[in-house]
Amino acid sequence: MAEFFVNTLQFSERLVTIFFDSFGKIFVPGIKVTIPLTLISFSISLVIAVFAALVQYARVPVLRHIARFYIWIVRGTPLLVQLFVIFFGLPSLGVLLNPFPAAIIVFSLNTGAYDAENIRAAIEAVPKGQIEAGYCVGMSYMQIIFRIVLPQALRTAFPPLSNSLISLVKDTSLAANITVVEMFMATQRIVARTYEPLLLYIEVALIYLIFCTILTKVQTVWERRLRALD
Amino acid sequence: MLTVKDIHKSFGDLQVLKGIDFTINKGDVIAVLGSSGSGKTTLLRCMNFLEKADSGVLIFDDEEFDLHKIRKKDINRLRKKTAFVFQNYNLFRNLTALQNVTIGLTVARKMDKKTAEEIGLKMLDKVGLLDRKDHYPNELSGGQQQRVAIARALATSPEVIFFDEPTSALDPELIGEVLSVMKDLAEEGMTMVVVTHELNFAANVAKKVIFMEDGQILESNTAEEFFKSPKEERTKEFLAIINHDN
Ligand SMILES: Nc1ncnc2c1ncn2[C@@H]1O[C@H](COP(=O)(O)OP(=O)(O)OP(=O)(O)O)[C@@H](O)[C@H]1O
Ligand SMILES: [Mg+2]
Repeated sequence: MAEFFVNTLQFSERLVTIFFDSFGKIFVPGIKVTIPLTLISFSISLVIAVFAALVQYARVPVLRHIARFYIWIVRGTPLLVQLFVIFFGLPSLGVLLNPFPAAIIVFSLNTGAYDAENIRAAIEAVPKGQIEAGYCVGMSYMQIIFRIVLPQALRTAFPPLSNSLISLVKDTSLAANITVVEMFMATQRIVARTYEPLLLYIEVALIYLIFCTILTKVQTVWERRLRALD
Repeated sequence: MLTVKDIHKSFGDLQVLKGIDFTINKGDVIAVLGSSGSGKTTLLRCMNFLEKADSGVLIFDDEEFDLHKIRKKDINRLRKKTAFVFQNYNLFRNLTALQNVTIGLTVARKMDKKTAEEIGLKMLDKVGLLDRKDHYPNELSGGQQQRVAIARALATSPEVIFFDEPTSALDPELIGEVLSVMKDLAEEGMTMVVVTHELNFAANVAKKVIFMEDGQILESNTAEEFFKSPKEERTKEFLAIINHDN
């Protein structure tokens, strides 16, 4: 009985030690890799999304078809497969990319395709009267789009866009598959040394949870602020 | 100043305008009356190119344009000489009252911000809403929104303002404030074309009345003559019904 007790105590002591020793080793790649990967990809994806949404809305010849095609391909194929194609596939064509930039490209294109649809829906929800009023005060189509339609649409699209940011934080863990040393990859390495998969995977899950919870809180505050303007 | 000739417009099989001619002179206040569906809104929209007429001619300050073939460049130039007040205000929802009034100056006409704001504040003052300059449209009552919309129309010093039932969407107690702003404008000599169901306004403020029926102008006269001795049977009926409703 006493022996069991001592064993258990030693066992949990070991777990506690591993937990705290690893925390920094997981958290630091989180700050240094996961967060930058998320933020850079998300920023680029927004530019892509606005562009892909606008060329469709404004019915720009050729470009709108390219945009549709891009969205069709990206939304119809798995993210993991896209990562593999870019990182492991492109070298056969002589295009060699480092893991981090490869991940940025894939996440930007992937999130951009989903957000393009969110933004397009929001643009289409802007009442016709807003555009007509813009013409009547003498603005050009471009001026109306950038001063009136887009600002209103981005406000409407804010909730789905924040959701896609939160998804992206979690999706960056897939970059481990193309050798990006982000949080999940860092965790896998510690597991290989310590053989404590349950503890460590729960630990990294907790850190993802912390990141997402913070983002959700920020989202809620902003949404409340934006709603005040509706 | 502005003449339209023989405007035709159909939506699919439905002929909405069947040849409309009329002239607006500087300083005119013209009330456009007519029953629902007679084509009043469509007429105003065709004159401001929000709707493309199937045929017709528009003469503005001695320049003549074919309404069907008019080029984008001319549309943009002509629109800068006019303004439009909508039934449901259509204030820009992402802009404050003041920004709504100045955007036609700063963005569309490249005026510097300071001059534009001076004008904007003057216009808001004119419609009695200086204290609401930083409010967003959703923070204003319908009547206030429509007054901001009128200030927005005035800011760009248009040669003519088109009003499409400016008070129809308002609660009865808010109609007065908007009509009184419009009356002031009329007295200052602003050229206005007003589609309205407010017969009092038409009788007391308008100089001319146009009565539309089924896509055509059935009767047009000075306001005084129109109300005193309407010529057409249909006009008399219309006036009787509306007077009865009021
Ligand atoms: N965009 C459109 N597409 C199809 N039909 C239209 C369109 N706009 C107007 N119409 C039709 O044209 C006719 C004239 O409409 P219009 O809005 O000009 O009438 P109105 O005189 O302004 O009526 P109201 O007093 O109800 O505002 C109506 O029968 C209407 O249904
Ligand atoms: Mg109408």
